[in-house]
Amino acid sequence: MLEVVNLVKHYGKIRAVDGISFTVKPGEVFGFLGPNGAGKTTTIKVCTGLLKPTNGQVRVAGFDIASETVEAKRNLGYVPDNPFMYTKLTAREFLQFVGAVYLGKGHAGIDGRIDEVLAMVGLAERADELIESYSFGMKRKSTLCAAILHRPRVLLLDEPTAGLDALSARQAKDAFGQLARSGSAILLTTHIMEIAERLCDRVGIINNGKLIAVGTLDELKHQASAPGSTLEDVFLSLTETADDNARRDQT
Amino acid sequence: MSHLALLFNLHKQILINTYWRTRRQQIITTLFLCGAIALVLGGGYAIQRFLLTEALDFVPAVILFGFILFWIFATAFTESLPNLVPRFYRSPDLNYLLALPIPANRVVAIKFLVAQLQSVRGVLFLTLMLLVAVGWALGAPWYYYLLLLPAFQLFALIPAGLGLLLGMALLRVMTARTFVRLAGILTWLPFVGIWVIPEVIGEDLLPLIIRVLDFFAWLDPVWAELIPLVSAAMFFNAIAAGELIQAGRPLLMLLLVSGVTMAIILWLARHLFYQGWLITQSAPSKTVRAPRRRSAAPRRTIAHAPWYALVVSEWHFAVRNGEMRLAFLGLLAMFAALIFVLAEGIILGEEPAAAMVVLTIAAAILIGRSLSVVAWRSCLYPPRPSPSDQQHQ
Repeated sequence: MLEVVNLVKHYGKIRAVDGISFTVKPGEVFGFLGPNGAGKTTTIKVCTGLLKPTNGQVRVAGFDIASETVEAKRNLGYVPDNPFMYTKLTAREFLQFVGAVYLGKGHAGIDGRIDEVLAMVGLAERADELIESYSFGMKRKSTLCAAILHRPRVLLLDEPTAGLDALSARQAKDAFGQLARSGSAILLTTHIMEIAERLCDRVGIINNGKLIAVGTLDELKHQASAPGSTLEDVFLSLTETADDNARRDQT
Repeated sequence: MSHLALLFNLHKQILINTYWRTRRQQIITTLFLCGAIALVLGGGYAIQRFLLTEALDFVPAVILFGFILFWIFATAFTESLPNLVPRFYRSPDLNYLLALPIPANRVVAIKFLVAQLQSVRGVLFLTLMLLVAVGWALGAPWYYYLLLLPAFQLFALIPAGLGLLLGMALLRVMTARTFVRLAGILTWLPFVGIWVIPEVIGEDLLPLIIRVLDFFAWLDPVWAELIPLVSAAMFFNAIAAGELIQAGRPLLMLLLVSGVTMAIILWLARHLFYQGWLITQSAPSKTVRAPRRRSAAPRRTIAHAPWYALVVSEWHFAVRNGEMRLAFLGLLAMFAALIFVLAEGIILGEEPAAAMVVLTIAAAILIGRSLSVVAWRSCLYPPRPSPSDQQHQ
């Protein structure tokens, strides 16, 4: 599971994340929504160990990301919004490197697992071509394969379906669902409300570094006093309310 | 240790796929290497034929090696500074590797070493030509030429590492923007220095050099060889003279000092890394571009000669921002000075052969800088997505 406890992250005087706490249980898909600049990417970067928290704690599968970094990352899969690819490697070579890092060189069954994830996203036929010859969607699928190759217990997805066509997006969503059913905890950020509505068991909404709402879709609708409305309506209502409250506090 | 092996194999596979994957790549790479070797040998011959023969009558070979190695030290040190941000902190795969379950210090170490090796690429051609020239003048055996490249890389590691370390320390007290500007200026110091220092110091230069040499001679040989400059000079001198046994101790001292220095540098780099990385990640770009007039006619793609493409590429680089303009002006000034010397030699007819040597050196510097420009640019500016990718975005 993923536990974020009272996380604070400052950049100088700017409080990018201001005391947020939430938990993503095994088998759950947790949607992390917020407007631009709300603190989503900063939160994710702290969860992946790229940034050190100013205060608070992040535990990945029971390991503290700050003090037990390698063990925590070994249980983590991460798909960034702007993924980096080694364009001078083939997808197979890239996954072999990733497999060696996560599972150890010469791990039994790694080749079979590579074939399995490549088939899952429809890349099996072009696995031995250089990544530089891939389209954007294919590169994204390669990144997804790398993130799920080692069957992580926690999976962080930052805009995972951006740039994918409908079939690829469906394949990706099926892969996420399969991982969740096998017990992985999935944290997903997206600007596409339909994906969050369809995939996520619970949703957390962050604004100006604070977590302003957490719960299932029905709970959020009740909180926003907007039963029957869409997640988009709930999101806009809650973020506007939070902005109004923040302006009132400042004055 | 296994993580370092994994990262090393990763870079090795990338190199193989980049330069040796297809038959066409193998042919091009082989031709390029042959051309580079021919340029180094030809330039070395020209330098030896027209410049070195008389010099070696007055200056012992070991002193000449010392001067060349001092030049390598100065240029490797200053060349590493502008590489710190683009090749290390903003290396395209650094963030990705840091997110993997690899200890951060191993990632920092391997990326630091890669940045060091890439830092000395700009001076490689010129330096190898000089070393080939000295070897040719001394009648060095065949293994001298084979050892040049690895010995050069070994010696250049220390100054490149020190330069990167200094850069990491400077980034703790200045912004990334200020540092990049300062580094761009410093990189031209050795090239300017060889013109200015003799003029400024004047007649005191030779006595100063003699005092320095006397100091090294006064030191016990073992202590003297602890200084990398001395051990490397003695190693090259022994190899050039065909005295393998004599070369053993300076080589061991050089390896020992290099190993200890690199261990200290890497230890310090790990402690200095995080703050500099944070500064360079969050530094906003303040580049202001002039609005471009859009032409109604579609652009035609024309295949240009490589030198034309290089000039155009340098121009686009130069007008991008202040730092690039500074680097461009420096490059222009240096080539203007070299062409002036060439013209003077031809016109006055005093040393036409020296003019040929200068031309060869200019070609080597041009190739070295163009390799750095192309590599730097590909590092800083990844290839744009194809139109089909842009549609999906």
